[in-house]
Amino acid sequence: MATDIEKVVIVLLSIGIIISAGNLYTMMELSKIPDSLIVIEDKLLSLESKLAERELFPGETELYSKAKGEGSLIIYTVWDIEDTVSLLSAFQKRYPGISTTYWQAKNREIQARVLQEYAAEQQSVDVICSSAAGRNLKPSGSLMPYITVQLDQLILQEPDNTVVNIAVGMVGWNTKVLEEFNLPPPKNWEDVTDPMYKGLVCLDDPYRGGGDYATLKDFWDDDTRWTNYVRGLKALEVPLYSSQSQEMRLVVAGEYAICNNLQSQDVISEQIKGAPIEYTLELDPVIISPRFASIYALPPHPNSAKLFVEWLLTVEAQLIFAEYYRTPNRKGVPSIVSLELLYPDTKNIITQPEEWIEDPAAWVDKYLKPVWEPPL
Amino acid sequence: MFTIPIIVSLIVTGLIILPAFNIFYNSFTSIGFGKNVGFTLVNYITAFNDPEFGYLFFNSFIFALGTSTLSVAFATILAWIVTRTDTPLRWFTEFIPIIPLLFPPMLKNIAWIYLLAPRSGILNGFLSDIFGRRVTIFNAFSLPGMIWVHGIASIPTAYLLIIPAFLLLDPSLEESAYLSGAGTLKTFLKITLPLAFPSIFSSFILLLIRGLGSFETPVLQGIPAGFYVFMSKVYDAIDMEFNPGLATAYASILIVITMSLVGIYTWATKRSEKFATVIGKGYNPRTIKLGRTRYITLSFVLAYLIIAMILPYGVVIVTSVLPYFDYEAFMNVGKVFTWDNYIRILNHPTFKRGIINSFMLGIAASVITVPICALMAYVIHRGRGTGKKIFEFTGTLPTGFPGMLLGLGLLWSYFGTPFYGSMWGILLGFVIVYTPYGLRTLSAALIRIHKELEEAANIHGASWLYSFRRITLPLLKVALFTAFFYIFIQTHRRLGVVVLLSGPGIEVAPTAIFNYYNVGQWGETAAASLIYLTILLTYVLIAKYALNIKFRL
Repeated sequence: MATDIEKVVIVLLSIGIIISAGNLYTMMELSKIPDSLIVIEDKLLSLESKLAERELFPGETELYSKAKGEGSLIIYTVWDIEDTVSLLSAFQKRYPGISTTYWQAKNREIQARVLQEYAAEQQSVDVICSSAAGRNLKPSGSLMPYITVQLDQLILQEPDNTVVNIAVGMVGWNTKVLEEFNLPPPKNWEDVTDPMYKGLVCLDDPYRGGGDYATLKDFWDDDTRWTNYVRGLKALEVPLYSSQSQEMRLVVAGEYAICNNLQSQDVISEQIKGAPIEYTLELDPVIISPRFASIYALPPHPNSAKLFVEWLLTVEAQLIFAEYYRTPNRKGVPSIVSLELLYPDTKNIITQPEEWIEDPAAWVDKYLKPVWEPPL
Repeated sequence: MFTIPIIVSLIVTGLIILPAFNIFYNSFTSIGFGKNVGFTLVNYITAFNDPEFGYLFFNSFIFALGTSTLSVAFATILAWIVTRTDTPLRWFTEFIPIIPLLFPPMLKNIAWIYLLAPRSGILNGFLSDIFGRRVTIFNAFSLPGMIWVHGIASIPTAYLLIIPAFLLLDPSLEESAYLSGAGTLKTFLKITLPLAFPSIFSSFILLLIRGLGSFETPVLQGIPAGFYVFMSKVYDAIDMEFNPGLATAYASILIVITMSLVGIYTWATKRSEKFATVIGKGYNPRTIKLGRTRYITLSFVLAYLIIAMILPYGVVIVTSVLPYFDYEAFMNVGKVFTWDNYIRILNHPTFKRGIINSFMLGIAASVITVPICALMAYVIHRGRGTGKKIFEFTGTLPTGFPGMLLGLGLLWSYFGTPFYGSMWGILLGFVIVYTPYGLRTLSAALIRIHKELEEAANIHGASWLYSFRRITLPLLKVALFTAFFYIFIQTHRRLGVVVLLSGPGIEVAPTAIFNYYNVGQWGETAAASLIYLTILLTYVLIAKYALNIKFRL
């Protein structure tokens, strides 16, 4: 009779023999693949390369040939450096005849610089990739009105300006802190005003970031409801912040339990790093904000600028945005940060109202200050 | 006899006045969205009618007063301990106060917010662990928190400005006090402190001006505390009103107010030569023997080491290897340790180029600025007539300008010239920005050297150039190298004014840090700062020990 050890050895040897036989069979079968299948594989590869050669948008070939004559592209950007570099590398790979350079700064610095360069008629930049600056600069005439040839493919459209991706607003929370206080997470905007969250909510300074307040006022179209919401937030007696990135860091750190001013890109990238942060899927309405690639009014390389803006709207570029958790603005781009996946049950997806866009400071003075009261 | 120094001073004055003029000019001619009009007072009418104007300025003043008092008090004691006493481990203590200078300025806020935040802060968390219940003693988001963070971070600058005065004090005066029966404290308060007063006061004024123009700390720590400062008006004018004209009007008002502080400084330093102590009788600096008290002074330096370096930069080091920061991750760094932040920095596209550009710019800016400042200081403190007051005023002028606004002023000046969008523009920006610091350092040292040394040379037929070269410069040697390295290091850690002057292909070293800081990636910011710290520390150590250059860094 075999001992237990011998039985184990026999089983292991048997498994080894079966695996080896399987591998040998597979190799023999592979060697029998007919030449016709190899031909099909080659054809697929060829099709892929032909697809790459095909125009990504109408007029691409002609635009590239003009842009190649200019040879360069200069962008100012507020985007993260990795996103910017990945996008520019992919752009240069597709259009090897155009070299690219960038300058990264905050919206404030980009606004200040572009306003002065435009006033001095400097041909300094081709494309300005921004959030707020894309809107704020428009009345100065420093942006070239441009309508993309891919307009019908876009989710969010703005007249004369190009929205290349979308920032999705989120109400999020730190799971550890809510657990510590044994509190349920908020499901919607007004839940945040519940007095049980007193002292635990991280709030944006409403006078400096009033976009969400304006959007909700416009959407609800109910002054009493909106006033109660604003006063409810004020009654939480929490500090105000004017730096969205600082708010994100403090919620992740556990300084606050909840924040109603988070961006999907930040929340998801922190979640992937393992941070204890979560967001509600039931938000209604969902407030989205455009992220622009605007052409400067006096671009030194106008065709390169147009080519870049158009390329940013192609599936190829939109997938790069998605890779960095930025929600694509092109319909049907498969991504974990697409609006359909982020908020599958939300009916209302809206953006800031015109009155606020035109003059945020005046909107704050007119509507918000009387309700909130000056912080002084 | 001062032809060359006066010409140099005039050129520098012109360079400084030009962007300043542009700022004032725009405040009268530019309105919303950067549109230019003929002439308008509308920006000033808006500014003066703002109901928050007085309140915000008062807040700014309180903040600036608190920070400058804290930093100058600390710096004075440190400078005295290091230069005038026999406190042990001098090689160590003289190096400690300035090490924080090697870190980028925004790092202080990241570190102290993580340390002092009421709920998530490490210190409160640590105390809570000890007492077994939630303890909230510290609060970064308060006026004392702001003053603490900004004040502690300003100590190295104050220290560098004050130390030349202590180095050149005539020790016989202190020794006379000791012989007359005065103790260490009494001698310090009655003899040393009054002698060093001009330097202490000038650094106080400089930090007060800098505090008034400070924005980073008030935004990150003040707004959550409901504490708004005047500078927020300047930036709101660009952020929310899209009106560089209004921003420059607010900035101009601030500049006029800060310049009145410069007037106070000038008045105070008029009497400074009365305190000049390096005279022709022979100069032999000695230190005071403290006896057992030297261990108390050593403890003071070590306490500074802990609060200004070990605590904040320990947090920065740990943060740089965390995937995200919270108290639990911080305390379990071994389990969640990652090199990801460093890998991202080393892959940053302009990382290497920034280091090379900054090295070249740092050397060039120091080589140009230091001699200019030496000549300007010479004209101011050795010359006659009202002209020297103008140079003193213009030499301090850039300090009163908020960084981004001075950047705008320079940008306006550069349009249509080869300086626009080039390394030359950044270099000129650095020269203008760091002239006040070079001037203060060298002025503080120069006013300690009595005129009679040069006068003796002149009586014997030496030209001003000869006496300047053979007498003044050798006595200023330490101060010159201190100014040189201070400027060299600052060009590597501050972006402020050059943020608008840099551009595609001409990035400087801090660009990589700011790229991450701008978008709230504090882990990467910490990692980048530590890499640059290593590089800067290498430069300093090579200069100090391999090249054997004597300076106070």
